[in-house]
Amino acid sequence: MFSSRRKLQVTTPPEISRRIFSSKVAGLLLLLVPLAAGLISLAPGLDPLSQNLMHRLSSPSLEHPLGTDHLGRCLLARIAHGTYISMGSALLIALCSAALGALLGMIAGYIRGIVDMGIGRLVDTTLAFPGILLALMLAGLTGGGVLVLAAALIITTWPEYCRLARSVSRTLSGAPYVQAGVLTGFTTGFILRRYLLPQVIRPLLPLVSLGVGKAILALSSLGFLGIGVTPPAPEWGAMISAGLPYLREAPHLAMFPSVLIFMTVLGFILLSGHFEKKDAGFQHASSAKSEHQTDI
Amino acid sequence: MLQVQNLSIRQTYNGRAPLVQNVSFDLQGNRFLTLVGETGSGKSLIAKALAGILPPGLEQEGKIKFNGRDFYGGIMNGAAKEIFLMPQESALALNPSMSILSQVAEVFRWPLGKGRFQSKKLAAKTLNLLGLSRTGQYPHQLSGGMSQRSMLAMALASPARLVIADEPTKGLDAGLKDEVVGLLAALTEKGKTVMCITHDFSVARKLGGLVAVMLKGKAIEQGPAEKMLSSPNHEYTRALINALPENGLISWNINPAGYNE
Repeated sequence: MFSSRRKLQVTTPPEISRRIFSSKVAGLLLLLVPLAAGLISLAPGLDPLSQNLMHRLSSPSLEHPLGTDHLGRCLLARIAHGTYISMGSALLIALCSAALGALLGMIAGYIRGIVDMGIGRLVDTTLAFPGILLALMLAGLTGGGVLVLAAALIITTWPEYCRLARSVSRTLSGAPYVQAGVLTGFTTGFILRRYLLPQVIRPLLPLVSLGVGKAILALSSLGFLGIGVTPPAPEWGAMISAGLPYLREAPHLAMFPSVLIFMTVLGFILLSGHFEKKDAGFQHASSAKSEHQTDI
Repeated sequence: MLQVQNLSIRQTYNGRAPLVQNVSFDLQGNRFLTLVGETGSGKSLIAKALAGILPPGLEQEGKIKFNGRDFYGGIMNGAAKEIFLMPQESALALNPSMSILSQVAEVFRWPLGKGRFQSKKLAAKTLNLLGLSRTGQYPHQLSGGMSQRSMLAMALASPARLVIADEPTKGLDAGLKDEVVGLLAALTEKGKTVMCITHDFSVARKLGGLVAVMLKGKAIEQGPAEKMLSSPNHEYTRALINALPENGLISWNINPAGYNE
């Protein structure tokens, strides 16, 4: 549908500039930076842990493009390796909680009744519980670590996805094609997977993209608070907090990870705006097709 | 095969006259039944009641017997393998995110329990039989007639013995209409019983079989199609038959309100 429409479109100069500055292009460009950081970490000789106390707090130079920190560790190496921890776990958190939320939301919206009520109460309970508190509690109980933090953040963020998935599948469960599928004799699992899931994913995508940004921020703030990643391992939030005491003599310590967090989060938020527009466009296109009256 | 006795459908919280009142018919296996009536006469409600998908807020009374078994609407999954409902808008009744080939294949695969490759093969064969060669297409790429035909392919594939077609010719031009009617006729050759709901008397004439005319929620007249066309008893039936284009009489407005049930 999209490809055939695109062919018919005439591209005018303002249209081109609108596209270049569109949220998709901007988001992808911004996300190139953390991607590059991730690639740089593959370069040989970049060790985020090797210390050189002779060269502590040095400014950016040819040898250390982003300078060194208070223990003389190369900042570029630390930021590059931190990409895996910060962005990787943020992606993991967003995808896992979206999957969990979508599954429970679809079941609640489609099956309804007591199942819907049970899941609804679970959502309410989770939403009433402060996420940071849960993360602190879990970290205190288990001794911290990225996985514990990820678990805590997944537990607190899935209800958002669940509520959206529930409302979408609730609306869809009355759609003619879903009814037709049920009457044909398809199992509930099949209806959920092939009839509802494709329609649920579309509005969920912007939320997931936004969720990655939020998870990076949450991880960074928890890292800043000192829980989560254990010290020598590089994590962007923890790096900011480690750089704070040296803000006067070496501002680059806190600045570079901050800038990277900012760019990554903004990139994901812009991308989510793009998905949102695409979803709205799809709904517009499909509603034009479904404006039929059904009679009794 | 399908016996309906005194089927009434009314609004649950409303004491007004029922939307469908005391409709009875007896449909033998491998035959056609055509419900003819204008918009609002309750035809589609009967189909929904039979399939067990009456919208909330409506309740039904009366007896529905299917293959000698008592059958009460609302047991969706129980009826699923026995009754296939082709909803009014076949374009909307197809899953927009699956190609028609996989949709028909899934009918072979799940309710019938065939293997993955075998069901794909069978589906392609069924679709080709109905003249659909580009089976990888998605529902939004299909024309009205093509989506109608894919729906028929699903009906053919399904193990259901009774196929209820709700307005199968809605929005189709004369040529396609004939084609769809022909395909419905082909369904009975495959051993299925077809109940067709339409406002178009010409469909009833082409299909033959039993015809029931609905007016204001009641079945005012029913009988074999030939008899109905040659000697209709009710005024309203006569008006509907006269309104067929080849009968020459142009009736600008057949207002159901002007007729008594």
